[in-house]
Amino acid sequence: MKRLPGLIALFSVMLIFLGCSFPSQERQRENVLTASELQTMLRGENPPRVIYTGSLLEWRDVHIPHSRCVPCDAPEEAIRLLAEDRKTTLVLYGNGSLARETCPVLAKLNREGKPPLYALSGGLAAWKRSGFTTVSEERIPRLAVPGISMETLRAYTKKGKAPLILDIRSALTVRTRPIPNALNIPMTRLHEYYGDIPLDRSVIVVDEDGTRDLLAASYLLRKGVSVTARLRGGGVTLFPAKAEGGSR
Amino acid sequence: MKKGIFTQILCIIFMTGLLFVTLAWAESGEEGPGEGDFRCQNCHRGEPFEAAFFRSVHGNNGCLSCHQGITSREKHMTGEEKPQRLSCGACHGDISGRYEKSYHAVYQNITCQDCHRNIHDLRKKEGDTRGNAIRTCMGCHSYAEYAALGHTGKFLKGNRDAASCSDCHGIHDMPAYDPASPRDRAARRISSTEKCRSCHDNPALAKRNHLSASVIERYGETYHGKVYNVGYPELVAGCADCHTGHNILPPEDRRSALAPVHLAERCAQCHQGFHPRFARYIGHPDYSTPKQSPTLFITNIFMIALLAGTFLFFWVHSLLWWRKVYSLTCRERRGYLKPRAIIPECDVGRQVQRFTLVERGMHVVLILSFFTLVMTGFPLKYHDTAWAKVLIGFFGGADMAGIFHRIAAAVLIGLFLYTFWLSLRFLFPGWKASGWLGRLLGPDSLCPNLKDLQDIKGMFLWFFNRGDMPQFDRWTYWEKFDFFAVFWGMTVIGGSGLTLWFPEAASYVFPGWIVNVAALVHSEEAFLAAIFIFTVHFFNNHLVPNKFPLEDNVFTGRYSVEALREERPLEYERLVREGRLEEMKRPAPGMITQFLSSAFGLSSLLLGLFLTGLIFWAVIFY
Repeated sequence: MKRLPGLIALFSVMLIFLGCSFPSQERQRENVLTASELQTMLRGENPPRVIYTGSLLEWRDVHIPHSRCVPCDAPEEAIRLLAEDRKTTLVLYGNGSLARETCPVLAKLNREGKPPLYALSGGLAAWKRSGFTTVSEERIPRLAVPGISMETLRAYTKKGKAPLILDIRSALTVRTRPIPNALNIPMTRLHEYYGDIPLDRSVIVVDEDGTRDLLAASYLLRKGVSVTARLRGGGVTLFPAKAEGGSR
Repeated sequence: MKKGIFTQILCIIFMTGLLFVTLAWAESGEEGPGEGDFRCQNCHRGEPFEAAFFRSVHGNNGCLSCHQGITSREKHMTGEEKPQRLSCGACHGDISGRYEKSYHAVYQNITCQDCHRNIHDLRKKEGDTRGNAIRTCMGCHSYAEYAALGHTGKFLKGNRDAASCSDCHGIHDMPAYDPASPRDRAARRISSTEKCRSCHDNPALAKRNHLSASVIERYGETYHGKVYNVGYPELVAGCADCHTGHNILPPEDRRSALAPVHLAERCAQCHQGFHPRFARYIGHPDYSTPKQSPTLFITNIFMIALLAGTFLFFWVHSLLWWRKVYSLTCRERRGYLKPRAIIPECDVGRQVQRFTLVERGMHVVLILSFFTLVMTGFPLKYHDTAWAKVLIGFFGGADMAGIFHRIAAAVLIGLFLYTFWLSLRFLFPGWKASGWLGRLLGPDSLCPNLKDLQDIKGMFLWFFNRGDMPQFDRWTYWEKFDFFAVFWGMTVIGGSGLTLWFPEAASYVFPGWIVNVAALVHSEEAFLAAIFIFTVHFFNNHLVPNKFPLEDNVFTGRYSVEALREERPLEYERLVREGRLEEMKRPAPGMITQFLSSAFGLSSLLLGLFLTGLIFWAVIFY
């Protein structure tokens, strides 16, 4: 019994050592569907309503057949309309996987006593990877707009007449990680507010992760905006987070 | 004659029919899709739809072969009928099939025409595909940041060994990895690392370009490389994680990802909370030359000398011992020697206590933790072998094996500290220092003394028939060596293990290359410990012919008075002289204790020998 406190102390030290090694587990919170499951549901008797949560521009560029576009930052009214029909299953998808933190539509539908609600795992990319067909209402031909690094962007901004940084990230992201002196027009509103961009300045487009900026830049070039570059990797490179896949 | 009239009638009927059909077509105002080819240019005038198109690679095709879905010119002109979505895959099915699942198609919705611009004036390009690919990629990707640097820069300067865009990324089959999927992240890392390997593992290419031919092999010497090679690339850094994809320049170049100003940034992709000197870690350590790091070189030489010296002495010792005992046994059987006197059993059913319950428990825990450490650690050391992958899979993968390894290490550290505590209590009973030196060098101590040197000399004389076997007291010199080997091993393996376990914390005390030193020392010392225990310790205590197959007193805790008198006569005499022998006698262990002791002991013995076989297999064949 005399040795018990010593053994407990030793055991505690061992547990502290071990505690440092255990990775944290992420909880799965949404009902998710794979692309194949969605395809099966669409072919069934009661097909779900498929909602794309990205921007209208992207939806017109390419989308899953029979899907509609309700952007993540859609007004409350649009979301309430979605939630009205509680019998029809809703399947939401974005360009990649959706998360409540980044998609208010998903969070609001969950909060409002949703209809049966699913998110498409991997989003449109997973659908395409599975080889299923897509539809283009009005595809925007991509134009040659070079991607530049963060260092080059900084070098540009130090020059005399700095280019205008057009931040097309969502308002939610911009609130938490703003880019100084940037003009923010979220991708979901770009087709409405592109007129606010001055035509006499060269523009550098910055998106979340470098997957939507070429589309935005090509669209703006066709509208007469002199887009000169895109930030390679998007805003993620400006606000780096801890990368996954490390040793701890 | 009749035949000629018949032919003329047929011709007249055919011509009349043709006339009717033509008139009827003209009357209806409809035109077939096949006729649109020529007439498209009536409206779609000018270049590139005329001469340029006919000169292009698609010039032999009609317009409608690509712009399908137009059945009527009238409907098309009124906007009623629009051409279908272009499908290059109708002809280029193979390329299109691969492209549809590639990164540009999946994530960027880039179609054929976005790269193959001016499709109506598309000509077959002069020059090689690899160079043309660079020019096409530069349409969207910055020339200054991609093409002018590193591999592509060298390629454009004429070095055809250097990689162009398409060599690493492919042209139409650039994989579309899902960044949220661990499996895809692993696949991406494998893909990029294997691409690097395909060139940097090529000695001829390395020689031509004055590159190190062993760079891949030396990556395999690191923790990153070992875990990668054993089949868990998702857990560690591959080539591109440190070198990045494009800023591959000499470290002296400030733009290089490995320039000193960027190094910490690269490490921070996976590691957190480290001192800037952490970045002095050597990603491709070369132990064979002092040029890269004199410390690593000297450490390597020291470890080689330590291993060689230890094994040379003890393997020769064991071999000579075995020969001596075996020869004695044979001579005794053939009657050349007088049989050893059979000591009458004076106290049937009673034995002498050698190890307490706590000591036996400690040995069992030591065995279990040691085997766990060997089985989870050696698959990384010999990552190229097939058994390494099986063994690491048995533990549930490299990450789970890592957790088992750390649990076993923590147990062993606890055992080490407890033994240290017991040693202090032995030396300073009641925390009184008087007489500590006598106890330290006395017969009950595990500390080597002058008699051990004499015993070593005596044993070698006995091996060569120049004297009798020395008489031992409570501890023999090889048992003392075992004990101190564990102390030494625990300090070295434990210290280096903790450095590898908490490399970021270690950087606050040492520079980053201490992790390289720790990796080398941990690996070599583990080899020394494992092979020493599985060969020398096993032989000395279990496999020597007069103890074969198992000496179980470390599990039962007791052995016979006869064995005590024969193996440790000085201790026996001391106990008799001090009158302590009787109080040390205990009943012989029961059947269950004996069975469990034998089963556990033999299992451990066999497992150890099996692991030795695997290790030697790896040393010889890999």
